[in-house]
Amino acid sequence: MNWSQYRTIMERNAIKTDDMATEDAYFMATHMPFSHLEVFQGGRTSSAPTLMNENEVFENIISNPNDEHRMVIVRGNNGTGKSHLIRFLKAKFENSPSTIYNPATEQLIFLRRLNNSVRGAFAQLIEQNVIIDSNVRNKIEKFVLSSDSKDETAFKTDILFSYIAAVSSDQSDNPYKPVICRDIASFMSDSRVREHLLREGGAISRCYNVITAPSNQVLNETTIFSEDDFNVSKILREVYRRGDPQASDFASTLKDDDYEITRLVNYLNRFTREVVQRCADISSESTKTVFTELRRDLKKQGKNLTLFIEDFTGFTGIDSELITVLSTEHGGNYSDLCRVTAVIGITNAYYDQFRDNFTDRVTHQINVTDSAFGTKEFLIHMTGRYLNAIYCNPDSIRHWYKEGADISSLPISQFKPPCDWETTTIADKNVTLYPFNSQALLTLYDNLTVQSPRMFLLEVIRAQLKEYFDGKTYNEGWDFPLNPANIQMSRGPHSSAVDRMEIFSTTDKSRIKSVLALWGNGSASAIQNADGIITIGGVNKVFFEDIGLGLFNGIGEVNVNSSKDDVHIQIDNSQTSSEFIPESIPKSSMTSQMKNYLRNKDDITNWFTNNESLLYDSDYRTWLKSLIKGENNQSGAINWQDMGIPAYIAEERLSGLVGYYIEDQKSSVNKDKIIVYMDRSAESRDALFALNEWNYAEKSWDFDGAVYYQQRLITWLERRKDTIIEKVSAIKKGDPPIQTLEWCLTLQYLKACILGQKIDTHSPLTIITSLFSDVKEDNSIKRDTREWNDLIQFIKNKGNEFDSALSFIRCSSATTMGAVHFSTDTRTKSFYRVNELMSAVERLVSLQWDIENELPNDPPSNHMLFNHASLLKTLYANIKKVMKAEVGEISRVFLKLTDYIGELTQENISDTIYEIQKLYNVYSLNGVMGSNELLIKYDHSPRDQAKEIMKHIDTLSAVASASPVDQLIVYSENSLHELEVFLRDLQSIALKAEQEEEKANKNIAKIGNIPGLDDLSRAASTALESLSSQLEAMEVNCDVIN
Amino acid sequence: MFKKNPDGMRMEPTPERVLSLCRLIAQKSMTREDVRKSMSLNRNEDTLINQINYTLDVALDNELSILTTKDDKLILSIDPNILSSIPTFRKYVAVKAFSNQKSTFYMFTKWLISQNDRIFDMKTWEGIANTCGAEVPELKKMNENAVLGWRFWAAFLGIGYLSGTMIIPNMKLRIHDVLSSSFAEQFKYNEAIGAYDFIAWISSKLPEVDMTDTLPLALSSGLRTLHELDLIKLETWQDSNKINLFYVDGDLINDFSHITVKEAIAK
Repeated sequence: MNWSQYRTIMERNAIKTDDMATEDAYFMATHMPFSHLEVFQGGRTSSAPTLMNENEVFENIISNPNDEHRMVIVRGNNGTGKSHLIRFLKAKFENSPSTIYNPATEQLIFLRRLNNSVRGAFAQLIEQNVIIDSNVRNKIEKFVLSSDSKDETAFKTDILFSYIAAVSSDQSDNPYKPVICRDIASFMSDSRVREHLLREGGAISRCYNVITAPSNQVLNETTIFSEDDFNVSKILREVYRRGDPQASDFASTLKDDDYEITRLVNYLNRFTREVVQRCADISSESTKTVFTELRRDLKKQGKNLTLFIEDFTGFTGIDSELITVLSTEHGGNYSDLCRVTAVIGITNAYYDQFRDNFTDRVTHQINVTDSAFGTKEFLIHMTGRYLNAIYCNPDSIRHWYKEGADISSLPISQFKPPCDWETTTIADKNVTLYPFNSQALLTLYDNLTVQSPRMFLLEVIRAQLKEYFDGKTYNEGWDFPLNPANIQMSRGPHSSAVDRMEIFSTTDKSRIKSVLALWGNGSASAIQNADGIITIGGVNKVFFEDIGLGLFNGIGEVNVNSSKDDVHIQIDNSQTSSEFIPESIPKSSMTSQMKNYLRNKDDITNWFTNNESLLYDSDYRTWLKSLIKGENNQSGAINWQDMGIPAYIAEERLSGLVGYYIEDQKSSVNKDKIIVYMDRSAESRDALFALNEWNYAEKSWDFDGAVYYQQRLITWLERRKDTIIEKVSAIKKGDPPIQTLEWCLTLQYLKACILGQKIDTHSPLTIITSLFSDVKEDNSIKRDTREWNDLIQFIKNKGNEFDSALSFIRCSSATTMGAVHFSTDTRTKSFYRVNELMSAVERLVSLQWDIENELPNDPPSNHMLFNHASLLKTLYANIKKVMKAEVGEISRVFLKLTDYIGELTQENISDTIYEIQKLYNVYSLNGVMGSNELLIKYDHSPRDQAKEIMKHIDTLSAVASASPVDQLIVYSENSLHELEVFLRDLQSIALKAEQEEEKANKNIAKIGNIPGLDDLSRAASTALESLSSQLEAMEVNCDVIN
Repeated sequence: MFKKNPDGMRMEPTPERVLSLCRLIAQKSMTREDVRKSMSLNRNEDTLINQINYTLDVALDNELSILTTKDDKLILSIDPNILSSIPTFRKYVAVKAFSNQKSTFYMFTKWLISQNDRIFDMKTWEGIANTCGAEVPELKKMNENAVLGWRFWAAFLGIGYLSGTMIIPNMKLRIHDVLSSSFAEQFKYNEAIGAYDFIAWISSKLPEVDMTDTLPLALSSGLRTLHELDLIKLETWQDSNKINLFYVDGDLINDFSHITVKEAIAK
């Protein structure tokens, strides 16, 4: 078979892009009879239509033996076959006996839809000698020629200036006054505005296309100018600032005023018709004259006029004039005009727009609805006709046409499909549907964006056949079949299995799935019947071989079926998912769950096969969370506790949806937060399908295909499990664990030291128990350096972070039964992994809580497992500063004490205390009021007191050169404060003594020569001097004392 | 949990708790009272005491025999290395759990595996317990709580994956543990062996699985998953005896005549 020849016949003869350009022989060979045509009398549609077939329409409306005035509108949406019907009616009229069509008395004019442009319509008026007036004829010829040959830029400029001229001369006072119209003209003439209007895709470009270029668009008044043509603030600003005064005035009215812009757009669109006429240089009146003259001329010749216009859209500019002339009934005042039977094809949209023009003028309407073509039988029959025409020898088709095109004698092709295949009939003769079958045809039709015979012909039959013929011609690079609507196999597991077949290329996998989805029953099960014929998914295996997929043997083993069932289509309903929702269920009766289920399937499919963004990712990520972390009261598929990962860490790390990311998801993402990553792959697609099915089955696995989907889901999970675990725990396989627990224990320990709280260091267990309690500041403890107090303030400021460390200790070391979510429930925490706590504490004790060197250098920020390391790092740095200050303060205190005591030995301290006691004794004897508090304080054994003070001195001295943490632990006991107090006492006592001495000296001088007084005075002075000698180096400094 | 039938299979002694408690004893032998004080950080609540006691029971001689009592003190009775990692602990537990064929745990596991995809109809743990109780005379006392306790150990030992109120039967982990620890005692890695030889060998390692006919879903799924992960290779050679896997419509492998265990599984 010559496949390239089939393709040529298809493209050149049977299915041309412009199907109305098809030659008559093929037109008739492929013509599908219309039925269910809705016929209305007059231009209104209020009464019920009469249903007629195409022959009845011809006999009742087109055939016009009584010369009645007829203006017939053939209406329908784009592509419904209006032109086809008109062409059929015209052909039938043309081939009618002379009683119906006599060329001697009837002028037949057929204006075809050529390129759907104004130029095309005008050109046909010339070609068919419709225009008799030579002046008008010349002008239109010039227009057709110029629009054809003229430089595009020049033509567009003409269009723009035609609009400007129309506006400039507008005196209608509606909606703008003439003076404003001139401002508008001036505004549109501004070079900046002009340039914008002339841009590609702009208003003038659109108008140019309507006049000259092929398009299916309906010209209506709102399609030329749009808001985008004026709503450009930069241009408006420029014109306002630099344009001429009139343009500037008008620009100012448009600035930031959407209403004014819309008003202008609507106004300008009114002129399109006039602009077309201006471009053609014909007036409305002269247009009317053209057709009036034609009718008069025909009348003079004794002829009537039968006019078929395939598509009236092309007559923009002269359409209303044409309607006016054609609708004028002959006779009476118009007896000079011939009778007219006009059959005009227009789209519904056009009719609706110009309904007022038509309503009272139209004598009949024929409405071509989808009921005339949308049936299964119509589509299959139509395909059969086209396939037969393509597979037939062109000469035989042409010969048949010449012989009268009797359908009963239509040649039937000798094309032999490679296997027994589905057929349809033409005049009781079988014709093959190969390579289509009815299911594929109907499914492809149902999924057309615009469902019409024309679209079906072009988008389905022609497009698919082109790929089939190319594949057969080159036997490589197969793209057949196309699946533009991405219809998927209903049997998801089989579809997924095809994707996993490594012997096929991605394209071939896609082709296999398309055949099974469109041609077959949606599954890939292979069945062999009693004749040995194998079908896969209901499609004959030979078909797969024919299209280069011979290696595909279906999924699973071939089931042997003893019956001899028809092997073309064996829809095996038992193998379709019970959860599959048949297309037959109307969307309106679906539950919201069903709709969402189907919506998600489409979304996931488009994501995987078409590389589109995933639209409903938040649903899918929620399901992933259920899978990986579990739900609030149910465990997930990863046993976190059994992996050695505390439930608390899993819960905290995996609770936010932000941690779950699916490639190309629609929701925005913070990549730093991603923990679970789902790539775009067949495995991920299947995992998402699995979760969609599970969700639709109310989060159960009780649905058909569950086992397959579980397998895919678990495989997906296992392949990524290590990565997920690494992300959650922040530990790469083989790396040492992150010591978050130790960091938190250390934080808690150091916090207790800084706040001066006692930690029971009796055993690791007592330390743990101490650290589990909430350490609070004790206001009774006074610190003597600003730095230490600042550190306390730092802890207060970072209260939340320290609390978080405590929570981490408590929660992460607790065992959790079941769902990891329970780890955050304080009521459930009781049974701790004490072995881990013990090990941690023992190690920290051995390191004397100084693990600064072990902290990560650059810990990630905002990471629950590293936040505490950052805090601890800062804390260690602060501790260093504080300890430095403490050491300085200790030195100062020691020095001052030395001033009073001499060398800081227990003996010297004891002597000093003894002297203090003696001094207080002198005070007592002499009635001097000393400090009772100090008297009592130092009224104990000087030796014992000195021992206690010396202990503080020794404690502080012992760690003078130790590490800051060691110092902290020791200084935390507050020995410094004890010495500070002792120093202040000494200073206070010394000051008092000095004051008393001074006072005594003054009294002696005052009273002088009293017998015995001198002796007493001398004794007191001696005692004071004795004390003073010990304090002689003392510098009384009130600031220090204070 | 692993006691002779009938056993309530309580929920409290989870694998995490048993391991933690055993590791504590491995660090230092102590009395029951010391254990209680330690694990609870000196809290003295009945519920807590019960949790610890149930956990201890699982670890002691009657069940997993990891601990024993000597002079009022709990001491470790196994090689401490067994507790050094979760996989070694899991493998130890698996041997103990499935060697006692009179335990409720073993009997219920065996029954559940034999049910294949039928368990999905049962919808919930309670549904599974009720069906089992009604159909297996020896397990007539089976109730929801027992299954709730069982699921933690079943998931831990690699019988399946927890999913809401259901388990997805898939013995990937259980098979992995067996293949990584004892396959090389009998066969060589990276060499294809006949399916029948393989099944004859592994059936003794997985006594909870009936392999006399088509392999059950849990085992089949586990093998398929390992195959997908490229840790084993299932092949069907022409004219060789095949072992049927549980049939899964759409799956590319529904039987195999040979299996190659990759060395990577032992790493």
